Amino acid sequence: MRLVKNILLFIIALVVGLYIFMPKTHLYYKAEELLEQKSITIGNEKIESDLRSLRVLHPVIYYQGAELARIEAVEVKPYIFINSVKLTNLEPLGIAKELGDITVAQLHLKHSLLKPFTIKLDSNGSFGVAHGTIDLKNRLVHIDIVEPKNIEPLKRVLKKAKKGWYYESKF
Amino acid sequence: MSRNSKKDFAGSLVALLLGLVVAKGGWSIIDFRSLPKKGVDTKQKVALKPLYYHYNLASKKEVVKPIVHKKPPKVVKIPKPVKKQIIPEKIESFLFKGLYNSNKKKYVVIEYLGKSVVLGLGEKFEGYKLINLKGTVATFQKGSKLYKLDLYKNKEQKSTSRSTPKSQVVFYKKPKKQLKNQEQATSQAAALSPHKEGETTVIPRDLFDRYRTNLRQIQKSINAVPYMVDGKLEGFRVNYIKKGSDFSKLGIQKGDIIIAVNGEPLNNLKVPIEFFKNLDTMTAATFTIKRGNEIKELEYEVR
Repeated sequence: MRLVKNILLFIIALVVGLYIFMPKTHLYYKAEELLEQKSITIGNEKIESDLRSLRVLHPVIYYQGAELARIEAVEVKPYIFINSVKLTNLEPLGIAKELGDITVAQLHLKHSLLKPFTIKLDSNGSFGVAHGTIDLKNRLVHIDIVEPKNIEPLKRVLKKAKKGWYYESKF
Repeated sequence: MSRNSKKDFAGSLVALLLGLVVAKGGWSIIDFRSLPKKGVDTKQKVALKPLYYHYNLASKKEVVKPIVHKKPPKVVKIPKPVKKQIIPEKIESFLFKGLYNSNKKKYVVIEYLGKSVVLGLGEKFEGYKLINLKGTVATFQKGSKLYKLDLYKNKEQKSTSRSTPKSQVVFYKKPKKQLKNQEQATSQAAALSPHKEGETTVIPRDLFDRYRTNLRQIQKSINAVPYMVDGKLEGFRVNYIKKGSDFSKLGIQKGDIIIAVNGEPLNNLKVPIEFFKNLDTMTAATFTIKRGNEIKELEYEVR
């Protein structure tokens, strides 16, 4: 019994330790390197890291060297079992702006180890409110616009179903 | 506290500390062995040089062939303008139409008696030697006199003289009457004539402006997607052209891969973005396309 208790304590301490001692900034640099291989670069950012989370302030996203979007803040909470990324005030730039006058007030991505191949997505912005999933196994993005507002500029990339407008794309 | 409970407490403490130490040690090893200590430097990816106009000298038969200089000609310093009275010495039908200016190549395109003439840096035409090209201003020299031409100045441009203030050259746009007639003709026949192999396609200015201010219209008529090779952008593949549209007359076909614009390879999204930014001042453009195994150059002039 004592042994079981000690093993449990060890596991709890390990998980808490993994969370607290995680080199968040260096992991972010690694993510930057991996994204660069896909021609996506992040510039102009200020990184703040503490025991609980990592905050990337005012990053500008570039694709193939061209500006794609500016984000006010990205907050990453790596809780090991449940991880989340929250983007605030995403403003499309350059070629992405050609899509139309679209802004994203908030985009929340959640990943749980219980469903390792699914990322849940919640968003709201000038287009309304949207919920969706990213299926990592089938490489499929599906987003439902549940409360549409100004979706006119997005209509050419959206599809219509009985429930309403949705976006679906393979990657 | 009994001896057993003391042992219990010590065992729990050791388990907790061990868990934390293993976590810290694990991360330290990962951090040391495989995590970068610095972020990706984005400052090195600065803007490209501005796009100007490119002429394919080899394919233009009517164009005066440029003299190839092994060494770049010396740049003559331009003297300060003389404030004294200058009397113009006129040359017939000189029109500054475009330029191509990069670190390696510098060309200007001028129209003379209805024909386009391309001059490289250091080359002479009608006694005028192109000695410098800075921004949109080309400097010519004839004898000891220097003459300047600005691409964006449509009015007659007066030049300066270094030695004899009595002489000056005025580079003309076409006479106003002739220009008016041309404008009328363009507005009457705004339709685009179909592209002919090896020839420059002339796009009427009003038609060009209509599309320039309505990018949606372009998107409805033509669609091109990034063409990637090994994850790197190599150009744009045309996957749709509306039949009967103005774009179907430009000589571009479905399946073509546009690999360069004005000589700038399309390996970076900045190139097309710069191109679209400069549309309002554009008078000529060259598209390099790959059709099957063939490389073609399509030339356009906006008039």
